[in-house]
Amino acid sequence: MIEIKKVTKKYGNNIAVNNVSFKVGDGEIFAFIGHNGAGKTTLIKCITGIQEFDSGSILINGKSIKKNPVECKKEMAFVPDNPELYEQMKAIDYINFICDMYEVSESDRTERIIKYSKLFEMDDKLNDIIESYSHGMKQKIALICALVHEPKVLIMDEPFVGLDPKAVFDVKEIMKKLTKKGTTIFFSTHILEVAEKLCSRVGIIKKGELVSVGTMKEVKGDKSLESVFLELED
Amino acid sequence: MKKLITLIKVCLKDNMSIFKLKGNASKYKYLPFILALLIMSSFYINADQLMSVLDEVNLQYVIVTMFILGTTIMTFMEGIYKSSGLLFNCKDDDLLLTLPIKRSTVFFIRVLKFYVFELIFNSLFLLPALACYAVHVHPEVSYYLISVLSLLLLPIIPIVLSTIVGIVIAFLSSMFKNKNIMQTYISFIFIGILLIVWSNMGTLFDNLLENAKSINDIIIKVYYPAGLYVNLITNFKVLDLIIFILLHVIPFIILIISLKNVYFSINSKIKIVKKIGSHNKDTSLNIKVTSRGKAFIKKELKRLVNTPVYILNSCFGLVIYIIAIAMINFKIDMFKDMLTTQNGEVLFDITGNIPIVLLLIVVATSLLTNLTCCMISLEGKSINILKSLPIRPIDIIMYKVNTTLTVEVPIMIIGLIVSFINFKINIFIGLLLIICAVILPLISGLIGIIVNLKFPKLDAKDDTEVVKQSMSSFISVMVGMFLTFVSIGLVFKLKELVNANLVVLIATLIFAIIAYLLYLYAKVKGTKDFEKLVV
Repeated sequence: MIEIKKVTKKYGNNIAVNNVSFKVGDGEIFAFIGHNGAGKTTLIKCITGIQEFDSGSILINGKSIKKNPVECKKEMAFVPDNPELYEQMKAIDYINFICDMYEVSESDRTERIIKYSKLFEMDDKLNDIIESYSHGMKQKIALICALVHEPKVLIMDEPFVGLDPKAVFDVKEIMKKLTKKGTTIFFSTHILEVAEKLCSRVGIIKKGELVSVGTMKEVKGDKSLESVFLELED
Repeated sequence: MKKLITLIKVCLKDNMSIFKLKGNASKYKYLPFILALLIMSSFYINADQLMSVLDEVNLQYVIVTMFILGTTIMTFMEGIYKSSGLLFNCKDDDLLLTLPIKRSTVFFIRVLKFYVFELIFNSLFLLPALACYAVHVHPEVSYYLISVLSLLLLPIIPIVLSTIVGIVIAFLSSMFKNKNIMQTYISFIFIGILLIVWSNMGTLFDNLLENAKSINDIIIKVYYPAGLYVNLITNFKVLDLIIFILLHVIPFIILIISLKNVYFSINSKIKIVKKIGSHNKDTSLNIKVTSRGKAFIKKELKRLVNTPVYILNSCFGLVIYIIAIAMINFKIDMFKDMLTTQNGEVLFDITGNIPIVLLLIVVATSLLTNLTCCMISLEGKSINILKSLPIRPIDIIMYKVNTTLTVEVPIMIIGLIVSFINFKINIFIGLLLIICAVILPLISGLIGIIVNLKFPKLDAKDDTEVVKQSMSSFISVMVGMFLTFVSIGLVFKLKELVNANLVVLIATLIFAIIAYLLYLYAKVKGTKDFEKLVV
């Protein structure tokens, strides 16, 4: 579960996130949408402990990211919008490195690396240097790394960018499977159709303020998510 | 022409980014200028002391030529391992190559970037010498004009030469699968060849001295542009001025025109090799569990060996250590001669003070070897990966410092053990020196990481920008040099008071206290600085 309470983040005088509060429950897929520069990535960085915030609190499964960052991060995985991985490493070495950091046992990591690399059609490319990969392939490696330690909370910033249609389908299926196991999924996206079809709840952020949050039905009513989003942004 | 001016403006603005400090570091915005002034002042004081001797024989221009020769050699040596990183495989290649501009303009912009940085670097050394000459000689206005022109022109020849060497290195390394590692090896080979040539130039200089009619004659024979500059400031002739300008401008134009196509062919070859060469047909997966620390150090070492400019720049101190240990063990008589005056007076008894000599070698080379000063900056945007990992910031900091120890300590200890056997050092002093060989790289590593956390450069375009053009590298080198001078001074002061063995013991205790204080600082302030890092 993710609990965000009155979080504010400023860059100098510029308020990037203003007094934002909401919850994402266990087994829930939450889509976070907003224009470029609305504050999505800033809030995601605050949730994952990458960035400090000025006020408020963020709880991951009841633990504060400010007070217990290491404990929170153990239960969390993050997929950034632009997969900046360690380019000089072979993909398998990089995944192994992430597994070492999360202390995943040898048998678990072997099983999961094989499972996810086959699913993303990367099993015959894991011995290649990451530098030689396309954007989409790097994104797949970032996803494998996020899934390999079976996080209880999965946070993704624009996870579908650069992925081929099959990979997009696979990621959506994985997300659905994970929620059945009780995993909390929070992701930002510009693809409103995906958000509409996949998510149980949605939040719309505009100029750092949460302008709408709730179940998909509460937010959009009988309209499409696209028209609601455009109305709120106007 | 308008396009070229716009591109030059962008290029210059980019070069000045070393002085642009963001976020928390912006409160230290005057620090680079203060450090630059300190360095220039210390060079001015040195030049002034030498000048007072030269005033008596009216050979003041010797100072200026010494500084010109020194900076030219430094620019060339540095350029060898910097040029291939600065010129090839730049992140803005795709952007520039899609713009409607000539290829020669793109190549010109690349070399210009290199030139501007070297111009700033050279000015730090040359300006004090030029100012010192002006203060002592009171020359005419023409001196100032010629000197400004020379300041602008002098970096060109070493840059042209090192660009050619850089292109050769890039060409040779592009033929191999592991281009980056090969670039490191080939650069080391080139520097090794240069050092061998340099060490065999003694007889050449002797011949020059024997056949020279005057000091200026020697200078002209050693480096023609420097001699020409002396002619211009002592006996101005328009023809000399024209030759001086053409001597610098023509090689630059020839370089741009003749090598532009070679440059682009190698640049594209490097990229093709990167794509094809790195594909591995082996599908067997090497999955194994490693401890966090070991896995982290492995990752850092991989980064180090894959970044030629990083390894060449950071490990220079280690190369000096190996040379110094070899010289002390196998060529000690040479040092004895150097430290004995013509009257037979021994300035420093080297054989009677071997523990102190070994301590000084460890101090100087450890403090001048700094791998950690770029480690945070080299993370770039992947710093977010580190920050999202379930590891305490102080552990990340210490894993990075431990990488330095993994590289440095074994080499240092092997060198010391060879010396212990050779000079029959007693076990207690040997043990203290080995402790120093661990503590001093630890101090250097902690200083580097603390400075890098204060002055991170996470948005660099390439590795060379981080390693050679970042505030963190600059400050770490300055702090390392300062601490080396202080430590050497302290050791000699202690030597006057107590015997050599006690000097080593006291120095070890002082270094241990410094290391502990630095660790505490890294734990408290370093952790906070790490948490503030944002991309």
